[in-house]
Amino acid sequence: MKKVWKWWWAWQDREHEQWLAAQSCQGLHLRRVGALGLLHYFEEGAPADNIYRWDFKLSGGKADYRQLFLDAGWELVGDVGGSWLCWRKQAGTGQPQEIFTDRASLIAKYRKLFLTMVVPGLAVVPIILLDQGLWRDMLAGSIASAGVFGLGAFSFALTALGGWAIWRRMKEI
Amino acid sequence: MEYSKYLPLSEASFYMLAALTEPSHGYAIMQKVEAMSGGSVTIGPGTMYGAFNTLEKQKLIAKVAEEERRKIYALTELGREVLTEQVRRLEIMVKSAHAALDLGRAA
Repeated sequence: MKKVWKWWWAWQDREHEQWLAAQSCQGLHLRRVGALGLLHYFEEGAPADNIYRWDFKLSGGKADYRQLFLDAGWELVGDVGGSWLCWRKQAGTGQPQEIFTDRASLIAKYRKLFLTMVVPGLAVVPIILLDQGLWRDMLAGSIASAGVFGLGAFSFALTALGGWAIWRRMKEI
Repeated sequence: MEYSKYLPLSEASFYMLAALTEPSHGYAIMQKVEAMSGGSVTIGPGTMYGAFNTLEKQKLIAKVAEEERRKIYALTELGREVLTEQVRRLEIMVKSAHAALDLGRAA
């Protein structure tokens, strides 16, 4: 088992799928993921043409959901807290190579991601940033307050960037 | 009965309702749909799972049994009516489009 760290953001799911497929071509096949999906455990074997697809579930991917994917020939090779699930299938079997086969359902995946990750972030973080007490302390020279503000501003910028990326992805579908 | 809020059905929902005239689980529906459409329509599991939830919420299908983590669904009476209405509308569309295309060719 080979451990590989790779950082990726929620809006880079397609790129990450392609990276996993490229690893499979070199004989490294994902077995499971850890550390919020950033740590990859690869099984070493013969190179293979595999397709990887990440799904995002709020309901935790219930038993009937998982069974349906297994029946359709997909193998679960990654599970991040039951909300990000990585499915794998061998390419070129003549069977469908996508877990989402129409635009509406693919867009729905990103809409769900947008509503759970971006909207709360954009709504909550400004409340911290606009807190009058925080500004008062910061202007009085409190380094801790400046740190909180900096962290808040950074999360806000990151959420905004993520939101923009997910939005753009939805528009491209 | 006003069916407009359910229509038009997506291609996946349309075939799923047609397949569910006999109670089936997800994978059986996938196979049936592929056979029915002569291989031109395939429904991925992500799309199908989402459609199950939507159609069940709309009461067009209902869970009738569960076997080894597989939910078995069947068309409801409302589902049958909606599918029938969709077919009626499609027939009108097909007929008028044929007529229009023929007319265009003749001119």
